[in-house]
Formats: sequence, C-alpha cells, structure tokens
Amino acid sequence: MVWKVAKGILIALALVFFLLPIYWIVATSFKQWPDIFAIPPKFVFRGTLVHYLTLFNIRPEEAAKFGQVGKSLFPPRFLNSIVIAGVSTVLSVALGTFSAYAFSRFRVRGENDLLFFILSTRMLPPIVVGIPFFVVYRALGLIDTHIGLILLYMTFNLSFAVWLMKGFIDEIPREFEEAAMVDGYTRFEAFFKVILPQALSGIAATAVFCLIAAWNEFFFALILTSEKARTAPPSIAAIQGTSGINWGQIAAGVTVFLLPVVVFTFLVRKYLARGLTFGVIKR
Amino acid sequence: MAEVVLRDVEKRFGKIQALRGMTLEVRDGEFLVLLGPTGAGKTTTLRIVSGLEEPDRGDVFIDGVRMNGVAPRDRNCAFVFQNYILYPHLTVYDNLAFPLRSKLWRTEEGEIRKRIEHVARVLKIEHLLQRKPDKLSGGEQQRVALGRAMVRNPRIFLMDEPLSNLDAKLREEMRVELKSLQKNLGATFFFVTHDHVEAMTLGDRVAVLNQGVLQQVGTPEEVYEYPANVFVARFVGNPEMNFLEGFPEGGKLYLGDLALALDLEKVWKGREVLPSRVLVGIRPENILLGQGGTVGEVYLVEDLGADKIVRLRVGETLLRVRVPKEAEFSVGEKVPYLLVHEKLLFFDPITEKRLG
Amino acid sequence: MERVRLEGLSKRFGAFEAVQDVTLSVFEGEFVVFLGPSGCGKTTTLRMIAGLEKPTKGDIFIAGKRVTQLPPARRNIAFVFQNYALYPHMTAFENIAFPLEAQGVPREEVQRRVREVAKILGLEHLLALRPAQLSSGDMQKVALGRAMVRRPQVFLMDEPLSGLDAKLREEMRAELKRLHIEIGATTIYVTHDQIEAMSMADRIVVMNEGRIQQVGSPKEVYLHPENLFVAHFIGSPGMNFIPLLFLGEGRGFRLENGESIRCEAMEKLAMQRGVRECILGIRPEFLSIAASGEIRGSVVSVEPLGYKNLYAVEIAPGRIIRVEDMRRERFSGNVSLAVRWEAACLFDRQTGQSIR
Repeated sequence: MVWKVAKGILIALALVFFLLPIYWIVATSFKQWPDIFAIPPKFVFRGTLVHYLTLFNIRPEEAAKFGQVGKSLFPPRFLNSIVIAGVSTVLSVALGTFSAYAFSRFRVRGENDLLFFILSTRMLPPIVVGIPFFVVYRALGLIDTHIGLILLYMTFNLSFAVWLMKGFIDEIPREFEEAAMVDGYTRFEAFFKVILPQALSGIAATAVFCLIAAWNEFFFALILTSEKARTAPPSIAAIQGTSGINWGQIAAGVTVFLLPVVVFTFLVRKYLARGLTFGVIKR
Repeated sequence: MAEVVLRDVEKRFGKIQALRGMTLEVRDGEFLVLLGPTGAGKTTTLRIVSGLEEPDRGDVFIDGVRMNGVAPRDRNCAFVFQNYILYPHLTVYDNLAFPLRSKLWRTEEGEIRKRIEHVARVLKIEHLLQRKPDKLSGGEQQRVALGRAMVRNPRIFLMDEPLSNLDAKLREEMRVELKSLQKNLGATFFFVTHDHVEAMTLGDRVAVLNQGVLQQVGTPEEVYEYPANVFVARFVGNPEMNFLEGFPEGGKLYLGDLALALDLEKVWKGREVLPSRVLVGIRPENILLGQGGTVGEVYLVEDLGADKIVRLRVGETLLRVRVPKEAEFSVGEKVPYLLVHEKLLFFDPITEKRLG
Repeated sequence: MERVRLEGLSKRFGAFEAVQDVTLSVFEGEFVVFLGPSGCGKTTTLRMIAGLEKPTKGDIFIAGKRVTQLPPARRNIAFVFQNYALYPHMTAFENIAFPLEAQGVPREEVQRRVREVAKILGLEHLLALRPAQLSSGDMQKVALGRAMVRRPQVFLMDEPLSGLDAKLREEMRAELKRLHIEIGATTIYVTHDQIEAMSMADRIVVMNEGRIQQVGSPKEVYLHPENLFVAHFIGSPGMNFIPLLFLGEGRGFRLENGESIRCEAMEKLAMQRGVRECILGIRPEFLSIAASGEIRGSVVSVEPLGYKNLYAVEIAPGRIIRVEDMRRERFSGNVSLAVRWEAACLFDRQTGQSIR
C-alpha cells in the first residue's frame, strides 16, 4: 500500500518535471500580454486567441498593437516545414527500407564496410559540414530551395533508416518470401505482400525518428534558406515586433509547431509500441 | 502428379560441400523420405528441387523437363517449411488463399472459397478460418501450412521437417494423418527428416544422406534389415545395432569381443570370400536371452514401456538386447544369450560397406 | 529413510498457479523422475527444492531438516542444469573442483576427490581440457562431476539430457542409470520425455497443470494409469481410448460402430461403480490382428519400425487406434482386433479417472 502511494507520487513528480515546460508554452500562447510577464506567474487567467489570430494573419490589425510590421510569415513557413519534413521522411524511409532489405537478404560484397560507411555519415557534428554544404549548395543553385533541404534531410536520415530497418527485416524469417516465391509470386511481389506488412511497426518507428529529426532541424535551415524555403524553426525564433520579442506569438507558433509530430506519433502508436520493443523480446 | 530426378547434383556454400554427386529419383505418387543427420544436405536438396537454390553442377528434372534456371514460382512445387511460415497479418483463410491470389495462379474468388472449404474439411480446420495464425496451437498451424500447400494442387509436396516443432504426442498423431493424406491425395511427397522413426514409418522409400553423399535408397525394411554400410546401420534403428569384430578362419567365425566361435557356413551365406577381419553387426532384437551356451552379465535394464532394453556385459563388451516387457532380469544376473545366426550382417572394416 | 519431503508445496506466479499442493516423500537412494508436458510445474517444483524459487505455501524438508527458508547454498544439494552451466574459462578439473574450493577443502583432498569422481565418470583423460574443447556428452559428464564431488544430500537434475542429440541421449541415459546403480545417490530428475522417465526412474511422479497426477513405479504408471492424462502421456504411442457404453451386466458394452463386446471382469467393475459411459484404455501391444477378434476396423496405414509394425486402424468414423504386430507380413483392408483384457483399463468418461 505504502509502496503504491509512493509509486504514484514518484510518477506524478516525473510528469510535472516533463510536462511543465510544455504547459508553460501552451499557457503562454493563450495569455494576454500583461499576464505573460506576471510575477508570480498566473495559473488562472482570462484566455485569448489573439496570438493565434495574428500568427495566421486572420486579424492583422491586432498585430500592429504588438509592433508587428507587415504580415506574419509563419503560415508559409509552417507549410514549408510540412512539405520538407514530410517528403524527406517518406524518401528516407522508402530508400532505407529497400536498401535494408538488400543488405538483409542478399550477399552484398563488403557488406560490413558499406554499412559502416553509411553510419559514418552520422559521425560528424553537422556544424563541421555547414560551410562546405553552403558552398556546394550555392554552386548548385540549391540555396533556399525545397529540394535542397529535402535532399539534405534525406541524406542525414538515410543512414539511420538503413540501420534501423535492417534490424527489423533481419527479424523476419527469409522463408516468408521464399514461401511466397514457391507459391507463385515474384520476389518483388513477395516483398510488398509479405515483408512490408511485417515491417510496418519498424517502418512506423523509423518514420517517427526521421520526422522528428527533419522537423526540428534548425542549423541547416538557418544557413541554407532565407525566404522561399525557410522552415518554421528558424522563423519562430525570429518572431519579433518593433517593441521587443513577441513572446505570445512565439508560444502560439511553438504550440502549432508541436502538433503535427504529436498527431503523427499518435496515429502510428499502435505500431510504434511493438516497433520500439522489436528484437528485445524473443518471439 | 509428378516425378523428380536429380542427376549428379553438386552444391557448395563457401568452404562447405553441401551435396556431392547426388543422383536420386522421386517416383510419381510416392512418399520418399530423405533421412540424415544435421548438415547432411537434406534441406539443400529440397531447396534445389524447389528452385530456391541453384545447383553448382548437375541437373534437376521435374516430369522430364530440365528445371535448372527456372524460377521457383514456375515449378509448381509446394514447400512446407519447418517453422510453418504462416503470415501473421493474414487470417487463416487469407493464408490459404494466398497462393491462389498470385498473378500466376490467379483464381476467381468463388473458386478460391470452394477450394479452401474443401481443404479445410479434409484437414479439419473449418472452425479456424477466420483466426489469425498466432491464435493457433502448433498442431493447428501445421495443418494450415499443409493446407496452403494443398490448395493449388501442386505437382509435388516438398516438406522440410514439418513435424519437428510439434511435441512427441502430437507428432505421432500427425504422422498417421500425413501418411493417409498422401495416400488419399495420391500426391508425390518429398519429405526431409533427421528422425529415423519418422522416416521408417512414413516413407514408401527412404533415402539416407550423410555429408552430402547419398548412402542408400530403399524401402524401410531394406534399409533396416540390409543397411548398405555402417553409417546407415547405426543411424537407423533404436537402440543402435551392435557391432563386433569378427575373424573368419578355417570354417569358423571368431568373435573376439565375445570369445565366441560360430560355424561360418551357418552365418555367412554370401559367395565371396570374407576378408581376414570383418565388422559383424546384429540388431538388438536378434540376440535372444535365456538360450544358448554362453553367458553374459546383466549390466542395466531399461524399461521402455512396450519392451525393455537389456545391456548385457560380455567381457569388456556391452551388448544391447531387446526383450519383451514381460521378461524380468535384475542387474548383476548371469544370463545365457544366443545370436540369431541368420541375422548377422557383415561389413568391410575399411570401406565400411556391407558384404554379401 | 526419507531424504526429501514436500508438504503441500504450492507456487503462484501472479494469477498463474504453477504448482498446487504437491506432497511427496523421496527416500534415500531413490531415483525419482518428475514427468510432464512443458508448463506442468515440474521444473518449478525442482527449483523450489533447490531454493532457487520461494514457495507460496508449504514446506520442504531435506534429511529431516526444514529448509524452506534456507538459501540454496545451505541446503546441501547439487543442481545439474539443462545447459550444463560450466565455466568456460576453467578446465574440466577446475570446474569439478570449484564447489570444493568454495568450501575451503585442502588442496590434496580436492585432488583426490576430483580424480575419484573423474574415474567413475571416465573423464580422467579430459581433465586438462576446457569446456569448449569437450563434446556435449563429456560436458554433461563434467557438470555431473561437479555435482558429485561435493557428496550432496540429493541430486537435482533439470532435463540434463535434452541438449544432446538422440543417439548420445540414449547412451547417456544408460550411463546415468548405471551410475545411479553404482553410487546410489538420491536423485530427483525432471524431464518431459516419457522414455527417459520409464527407463531411469525407480518412481515416476506424473504432473499436469501444477498437480501430481500419479506417483508410481514405471510399471504401475504404464500398466495402471490413474487417469486418461497419464494413460495418454506415457507410452509411445500412448494408450488407445475406445469409448464404450455400458449396457448392463451380462449384456456387455456397445462400441461406437454399434457392435457390442463382452468382458465379464470389466462389466462387473462398471456395474459396481454404476458407470454408464466408459472409456476402454488399451495399449497398442495388447491388441493384435486376429482371425476372429472382438473389434472390427480397417487399416489406415502401416508404420514399419523394423522389428515390428505399427498399424493405424479405424474402428469407427474418425476413431483411429494403434495396434502393434510383430509379424513381418503386412495386413491391409478390413481386420479384426483381439483384446488382451487382463491388460486393459477402464475409465469413467465423465471424470477421466480409472475405474478399479
């Protein structure tokens, strides 16, 4: 009994520790301007949607009060984020799954060296390759393009996707597609009919990791884009009015920015739970 | 309906020679069991017939057509794997329908339903059709795997130790069912196992394989009573055949281990002249206790239920003797024993081949 | 003399009753085998005796002393594990000597005792080798040696032969049994293999679903099973079950195919107990194919075992029973079966218990 109560308290403490910052941001996004700075902080306050309305340019006249000049840039950049993170995730998971299948099922010459090489692309801190990328991208005319960021994120996530998916596919017995091949299917058909459904949980887990990485990426988005292809992370940081930092709108931006990943993770949670424990539990 | 011929098939994996000069014929409508220890090349043979593996040398014929280079799906074989390999995301019904929904065997859904219902009735799995495989017991999974092989009436059933994951009791029951299923279908079964009891009881013929080399092909009785060599003699039968050193000389056969001399003409019917040293083999049931003039000491009695195994010590040698379960012997007892003369087998000690 | 006593031993894992109310005495020098399918609670019972698992209820006595609360090290027992659990970095000698060194036995004494054990097990020439250099049979012997060297009150063995291949298992089975005859150590042995139990045990404890089903000598358990579970589990193949309807004394029993059979002794039993729906239990070797037997049926398949044939005979739709026959000729088609009534058992169909 005592132990149960203690366990409850511990869990509550942990929840408070992890959820407080999120609460803080979400609450701030609904607070009126003076309440945001109130000390001691107000836990009960009269809510407002003004920060969201100005963020999405629905009531632009309100924005002027906060010293905003011109329209909010958030909507197009949020869209950029969705397109760039989404497309790069789809690409890295798709390519990763195919190459993982090849590594898992065929005798690839120098397999271990190749796999290590693929992983090694993750070993450099991104900041080291920042300048070279900038130079190369400028030469190729990829600066401030969607395709530029998509390619970059895909490259970075691919190594991760290959390694993760290889682990998942290794766990699927080879006989699964062999049985299908004897039963009248080609290897390609067998892959789609048999291996893919089995690998779904792995694909979900991999996709979540890739999406989070691409979604949150700040550094390259900052140096490789300016206007057209700029994503949400650098632009949220830059929300400023003439009268200082517009905390309310930043909080609203962050809250909106949180949503897609939460929703996606929620949608695939069924697969995820199995995916994350895959290989841990022996079947 | 089909026959399979393997001719001089060789297969090597890296440093391991899996098959050497394998020549074997599976006749139409026959239940052929390929028997051998782990690593003998049994599974490789099946995989070569199915097309999942290509031979390095030699040819594979199905119904007289050379199959080398033909894709697995175009060979019309069914493969039943040791671990069943049912698709966990599909119901039993969809697992059974799986082969019929391929482009190659594209069948209309009404016909699929008819065939599945028929197969399910034969295998007594009608009540399981809507379940997922992970909700089935081992025996039920085994039946579904068989069903998936049966639905498209393949030319030949290739079976890779399909009973080895079942517990002992279920295995015995499935053995009978499998055998009668094969007879009722009139189908060609090519069945792989390491269990000699399974091989003896299931096979119309048994092919014994060791280290990639075919040792003997014959009916279960032939393989048991006239093993081609020492390996087959030891591998088939439980408990193992007894082996003794024998020295034929001057019309007598001296069995050194037992300090025994037998009349050579009573035990050796062959025409050829025996070498000066031979290996003499005798099955445990061909030694009779309580008769004969020489005596051994009971070293151990093992009750197996239906019969008993007595280990009889003669000098330094232990003989395995099968006795009826009614027989009572106690450890340390001195018992006379008799070797049934006409049941002695002779092997060349160097080539290990059976003589005569 | 009583060496181990279990009193009302129970173990629960969450909601799962692994072992329920096990009471048993094991006597000095006895070889007791716990037999049952996986999950029946046999290993849990053994682990409780060893102190590796704490009972939820009940008591354990070893050599008259209550040890329920003692840690394994203070119970003076030896445990032989399924996977040998040898230390890979030590030689066979060091492995065997390990428990003695833990006790602080003087060096010369250790030398003497290890050599003595090694001699009994035939390991003398292997003492300098490490486990990786030993065959699996020899590894098992080293594990045994490590258990023997301490001269414990009782040996506990958890499926020690199941890691070996079939042929070696047979050999080790005989050696273990012989070893027990020679040194007479009290042994509790766990297995799921009924042949191991039959051939090695002085007494068999058959378990199922956490409960003891029957305790008795191999012969008792084989010939007089107390319930249907024991009858089916022991024997390979298990006992045949033939449903019977008791018609009244003097009128006999009705078979599923509508025919009736007579056996005075059985009728008397059924009458006395007032049982209408019975099951006749009869082992395959107590049935024979005869010119005019009591039960008619048709042969489904013949399984040659070399020294005898095992028939599957259908005596009513879907009711297949097994019959042994020592004759070489093969029977087929319609046959009639003679029953050796003195070896038949009668069970109450409702309770599954034997009627005696």
